[in-house]
Amino acid sequence: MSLDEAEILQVLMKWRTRLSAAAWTVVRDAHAAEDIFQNAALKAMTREVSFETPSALISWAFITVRHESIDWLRRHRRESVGLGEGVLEMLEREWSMSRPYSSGAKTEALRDCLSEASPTARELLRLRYFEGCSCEEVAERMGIGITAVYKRVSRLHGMLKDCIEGKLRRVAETS
Amino acid sequence: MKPGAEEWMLRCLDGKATVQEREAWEALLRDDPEARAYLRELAEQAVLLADLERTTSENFSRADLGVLSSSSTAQPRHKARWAPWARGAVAAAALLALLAVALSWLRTTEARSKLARVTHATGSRQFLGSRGELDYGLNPGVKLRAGDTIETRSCDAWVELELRDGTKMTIGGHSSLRLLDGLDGGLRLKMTRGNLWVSPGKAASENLVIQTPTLAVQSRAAQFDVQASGIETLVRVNEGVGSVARGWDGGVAKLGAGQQIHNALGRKDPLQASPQPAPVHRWETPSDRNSAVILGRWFPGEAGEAMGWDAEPLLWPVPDREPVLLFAVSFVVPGAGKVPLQLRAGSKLVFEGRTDRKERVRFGFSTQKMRGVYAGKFETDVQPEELGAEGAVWRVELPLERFRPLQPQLSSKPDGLEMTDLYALTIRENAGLAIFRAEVLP
Repeated sequence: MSLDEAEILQVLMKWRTRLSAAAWTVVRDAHAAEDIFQNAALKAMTREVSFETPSALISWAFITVRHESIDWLRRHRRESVGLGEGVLEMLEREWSMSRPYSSGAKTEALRDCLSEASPTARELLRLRYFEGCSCEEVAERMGIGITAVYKRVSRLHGMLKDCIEGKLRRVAETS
Repeated sequence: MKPGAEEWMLRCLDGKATVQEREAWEALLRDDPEARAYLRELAEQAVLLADLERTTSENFSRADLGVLSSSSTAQPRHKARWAPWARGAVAAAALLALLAVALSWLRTTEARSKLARVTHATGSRQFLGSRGELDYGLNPGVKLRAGDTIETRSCDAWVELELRDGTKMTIGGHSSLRLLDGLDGGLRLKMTRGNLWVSPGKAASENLVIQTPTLAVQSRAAQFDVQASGIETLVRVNEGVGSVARGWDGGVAKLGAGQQIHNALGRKDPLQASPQPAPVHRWETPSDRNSAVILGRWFPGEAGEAMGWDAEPLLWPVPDREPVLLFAVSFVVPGAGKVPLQLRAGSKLVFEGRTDRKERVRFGFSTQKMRGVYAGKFETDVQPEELGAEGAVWRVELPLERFRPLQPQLSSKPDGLEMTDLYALTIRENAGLAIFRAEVLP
């Protein structure tokens, strides 16, 4: 029996962050990535072919997100980061095999972890990912060197990764 | 992964790498599972950081705490300066210290009483203060206290609040919300009509209770939305857990993520959460006169003409300018059954109506993300020449792509979003606008 609309929506919402992340890898714009995910979800619920299993739906969703993302780059005349379809497919295969954390749990953990970061660090991340500035633009707006921005952003991602994983592990242990 | 590879990846993602560096990056991703895992984590963080920024702001509560701490550190300096003086001066110092303590207490009380702050506001809205103030310029930065009421009056209005624990609350058009109190580590609000969306703030420390005419909704750290009128309430939880209580029988029910509760006056069945239904893609104004209308005066069909709704006047006072008069008809979506209406790329909005005078008509609707937060309003204007002769019945078919976003930062296009209400209005001139029927087609 194929998945109904409610089941499709439920599966996609669980994979929302991962699928949006796949779109972001291509378009590097978090708002566009969210729109691309919404489009994919809409297509999943309105397409004529049905999905027999959640994994079939997820495989289809990753491919759709990739195509939509490439289309988005073309429509907006943005330059690709240069990852070929072969590598993107490889990433999708791997990303679709590991089960994602629920978006809500990871968001909560990120929120807590961010509160431990300095206001400058939070501003840097806001400019980079919410405003969509390149590291060069972030450097200009914050009045620091470009190399320092790359170093700080990279360090912050590392810090957030460790912090988020720690918090999610603790939640899993106590539940 | 090699040391420094993270920074190199960031440069490639910025589009700043050379062709050789990009090729090397591709090779690294092909060969190194650690590099692939790093890219996944980085991309997920990017998406979540933007998501979080959209729904949360941390500055408000910190700013208030800052004011309090600076006032409390001022007191010892006063004491130290006065202490060595003679006896009378010591008494004066004591009096000053007492005053400082009283002032500090007053400031603390004042700060505690500020329960929320307006962060965005647009459209016709008003503020009814607990001390009797009436202000039509409810602008970002206004702080709200217990007893204050805010109302959004026009269809295209919305107000975004940041509660004192960082929780974000968005209030849609034609809504009325009163802040009751902020006692015992919680916040109580009363919503007599309209729509609101709640996204929890940092660690969502406060218990949030929203009373509607038919239910009390309670949550801590849940993302949910509420639609309320004088006779019914729909609560939908999208993330986290909430609970609702019904006054007349004491019925209580819990809601988990993806569940909803609909309650109407007079319902006797047990209060019970149910899964949020799958969305539909078609909607039309119901055949009864009251169930969907938010604004508009119903008239029965006469002489072969269909029933419909006349536009109601609505005064929009604008600070330092002439007030603007709107004439509007507005409907709530979803109607009966409370099934969400999802828009698709090919969706069309159809309106049948009449205008007695040649006048531009503005059509619009409000949206939210599917099982998510408020996503903004979309509008389009239809010129009088598109509507035909004065007094004649017209029918306009408006494809979705014709509508422009009023808040593109929330969502740039409407397809994929859920519609929560739709409206038609004329501005300044009463053109005798009447709507017989409105429809959304897939």
